[in-house]
Amino acid sequence: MRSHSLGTLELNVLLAVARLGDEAYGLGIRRDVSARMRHDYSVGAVYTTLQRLEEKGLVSARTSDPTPRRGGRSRRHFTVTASGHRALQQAQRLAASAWAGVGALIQTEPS
Amino acid sequence: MIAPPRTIESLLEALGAEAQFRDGVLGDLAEEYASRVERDGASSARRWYRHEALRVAPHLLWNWLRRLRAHGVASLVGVIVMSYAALVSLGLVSGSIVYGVLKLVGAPTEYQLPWADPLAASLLFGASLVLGILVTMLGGYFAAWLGSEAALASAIAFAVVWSLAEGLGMLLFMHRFPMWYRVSVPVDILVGAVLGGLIRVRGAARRRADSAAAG
Repeated sequence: MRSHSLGTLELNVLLAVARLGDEAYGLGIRRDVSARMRHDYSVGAVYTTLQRLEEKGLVSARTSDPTPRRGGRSRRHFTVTASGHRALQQAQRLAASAWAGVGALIQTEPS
Repeated sequence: MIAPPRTIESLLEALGAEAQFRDGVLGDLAEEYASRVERDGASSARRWYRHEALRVAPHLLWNWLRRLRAHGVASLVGVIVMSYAALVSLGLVSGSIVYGVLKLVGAPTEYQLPWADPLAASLLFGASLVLGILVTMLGGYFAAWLGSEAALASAIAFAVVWSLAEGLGMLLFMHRFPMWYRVSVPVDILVGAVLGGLIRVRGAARRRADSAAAG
């Protein structure tokens, strides 16, 4: 199994794709990630990240029919692949391992 | 249908990104723009679109750069060389015409730079920068015209290559010229050539819109 190291934005975009399901296209993903990260990401930043995830085989894309509201352009819908699921599981394990034993400590201010 | 600002959209299209990437990005911008027009009004939506276009442009340009393969690089080098050659030819022709006219009216045809008079030299350098920006605009226009598939990206590439080459030449060899001039020349080239590319893309977009309206 190939292991993928994910950057912060990559991880959050991948999580958004998993979370949004059928609504996982550029704009929806951008809104979701921007709201959760409390940072206004540009459409370009999200698409560049999605392209990187696609090249790593972590998401796959399909194109919908063009719509007038998009100026006659199609939407690209993204889905998490099996490799993507494994990468998310790995990221979750790593995060849990990194946080182990710290949860209680950060509840109180250091004296 | 609420269409986003056509000129800005054409400029973004001319950055040469891969079709799927470009359509995804521009489609999302158009969709968000339409929502903002309905929610916040046209003026606020236009402001948002302009701001977002500036943020998106580097990503589209980066996508174009990433997908340049051997053939794309060769074609880009061709665009840069041909644009430069066109400008040099134009310079030779116009120089010959000026020389011929001076000769015809009996005026002196050889001049020395007025090194001894700093004010006259500065004025001359300033004038050369003004003329230079017009010439480089023409170069950028040529590059955008030749590289029509990625018109603005071609003009930017031409501007960067020429500006770097000229800047290096100025810093290494033109020691007699004042430093402000040696620094201004590459900036002049960069700004002029990109402006030329913008003019070309904008003009092409207007012509397309006019013919679509007429048809």
